[in-house]
Amino acid sequence: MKLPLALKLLLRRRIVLFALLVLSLITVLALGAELFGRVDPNDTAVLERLRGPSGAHWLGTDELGRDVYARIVHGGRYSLLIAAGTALGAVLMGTLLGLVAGFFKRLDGPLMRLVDAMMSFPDILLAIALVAILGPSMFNVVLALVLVYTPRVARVVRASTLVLRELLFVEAARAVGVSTPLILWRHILPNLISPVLVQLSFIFAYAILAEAGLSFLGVGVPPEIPTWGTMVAGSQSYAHQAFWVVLFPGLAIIFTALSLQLVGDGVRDLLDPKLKKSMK
Amino acid sequence: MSAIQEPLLKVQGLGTAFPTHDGLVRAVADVSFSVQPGRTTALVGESGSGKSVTSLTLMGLLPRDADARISGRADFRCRDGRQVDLLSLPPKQARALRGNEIAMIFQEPMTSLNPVLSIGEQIAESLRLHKGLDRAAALAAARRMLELVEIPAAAQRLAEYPHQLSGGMRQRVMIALAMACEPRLLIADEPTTALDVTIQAQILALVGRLQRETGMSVLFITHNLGVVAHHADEVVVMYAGRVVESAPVKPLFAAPQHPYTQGLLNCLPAKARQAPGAADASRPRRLFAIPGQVASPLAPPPGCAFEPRCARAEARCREAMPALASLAGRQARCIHVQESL
Repeated sequence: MKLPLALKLLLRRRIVLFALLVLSLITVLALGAELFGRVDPNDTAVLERLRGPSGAHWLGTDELGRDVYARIVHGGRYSLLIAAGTALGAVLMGTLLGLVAGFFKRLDGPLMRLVDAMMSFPDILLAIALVAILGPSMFNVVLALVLVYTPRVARVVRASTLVLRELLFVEAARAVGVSTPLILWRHILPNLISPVLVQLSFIFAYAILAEAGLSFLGVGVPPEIPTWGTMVAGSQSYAHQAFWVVLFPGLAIIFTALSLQLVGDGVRDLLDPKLKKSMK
Repeated sequence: MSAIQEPLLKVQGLGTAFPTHDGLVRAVADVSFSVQPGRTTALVGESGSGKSVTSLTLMGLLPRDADARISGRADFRCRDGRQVDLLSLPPKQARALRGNEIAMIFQEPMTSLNPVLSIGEQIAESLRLHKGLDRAAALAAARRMLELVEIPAAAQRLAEYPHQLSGGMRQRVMIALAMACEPRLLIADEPTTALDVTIQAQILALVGRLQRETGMSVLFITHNLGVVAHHADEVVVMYAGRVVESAPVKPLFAAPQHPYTQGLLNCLPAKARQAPGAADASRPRRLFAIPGQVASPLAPPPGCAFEPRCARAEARCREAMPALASLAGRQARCIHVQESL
């Protein structure tokens, strides 16, 4: 199999390879929940409540007798969806903001002060306030988290754009008669892919944690949608008699966030020429 | 080619000033020269003499946030015979001209190509913009351009990225990019400064060949007098933002009029002089140097800008900037030249 050199280098680091495998496993399980999970995640069986892990219920049952495994894989779909939506949304908006602020000096001041203002709120507090105003729903959680993480991307993209716009190839493109929008699109944007990619993986991880946190605090997605956050939040009072109701969703959160961070680290190291030596 | 042919580019009284915290800095003032069709005009001067600002002003490539104050006019004859003033052209028309009728190559081939776009795409971009070719046709044309600039295995190179090429190869790609739309004027801003001496000669020979084949004019910006002697037809010497002497290349080298030009020619290693008092001819000879430094554009001397460094300076030189005096097809900005008329 012929892989691009970058991917080959990435996979050479075992910890990154392991993280990628974990992520693929989680993704496959979450997307193919119907194929692997035999039980409906919302099937309640009051007589079987709070049963430990067994052959019938691999990861036990919760306080309403729902299968924890089925809920984790179905919940994973929602958790990953929310995180992916957040990461993509924040990267799109942040890139646009950062690109405009970095390239046009006149807009730099106003836009970056706006970004500073947004960054001066603690992340989770801003998200809580936004969801409290907008009302709890999956879309609103994504929207709130996008607003929280957009400034980070904007800062990174602006910094890179400031460097890129002074490079000679931008002037060379002008000398060929390329218009400003086309310079941004064809000459600056492709050069931003590496820093944006790193941000994407980190925000993905942050968003998994943030969604879980918001749901745990009761300002996330409505409790009837199973996400890893709502699972931990709903079952926390039973943790002392049935550890599995919080342990397994918690582990799902930890493994996913950790793997994403590791992949993000791997990508960043790969793209940083100064650290490239350590990859070989 | 008749001698009374209309110039392709006629620059008159070009001035560029930048507002700074310490006042208006006149980077370039009262620059006039012309470029004849199919000929090479060299703009010569040391760092900070304003030669690059002149070329960027002509191209309309000065950074917008520099808020440059531009004066004078630069009449350029387009392919269709229209005469346009490059300095007052609306941005859209200027863009249609750039890369199409006027192209430019830069000093640093290492950074003047976009690292994430393939060679082929970058050359094709100009063709798609100005000739309206589709992707496939533009790439085919790009391949022909690479062959034209003598890059071996052109078809493979199309898909390669700048980091896979050496400096000389990249400058060839830049030339291919500039030549893609067959410009009438090529502005070459120190195109060989960053290259090895052997590669320099190849690149210059290539530009010369392309000029003969396409009949384009070249505005050559350099500080290398050896290059000027070999490749230029007309020479414009700049000092501290002004033209101090302009002449056809042979008379200029044979009999430089302005003390600065004389000094520059004396600085060439071939003119290195015997160390004073050394009887032994095998002793190392010493290079001549012009004493002092270029005057700061923030505090220009009241009279002639070269006066503080000039061996022939007199009290009168400090009174006013001498005008450009014309004599027999050449010009010089020096009171001594004026008097000898």
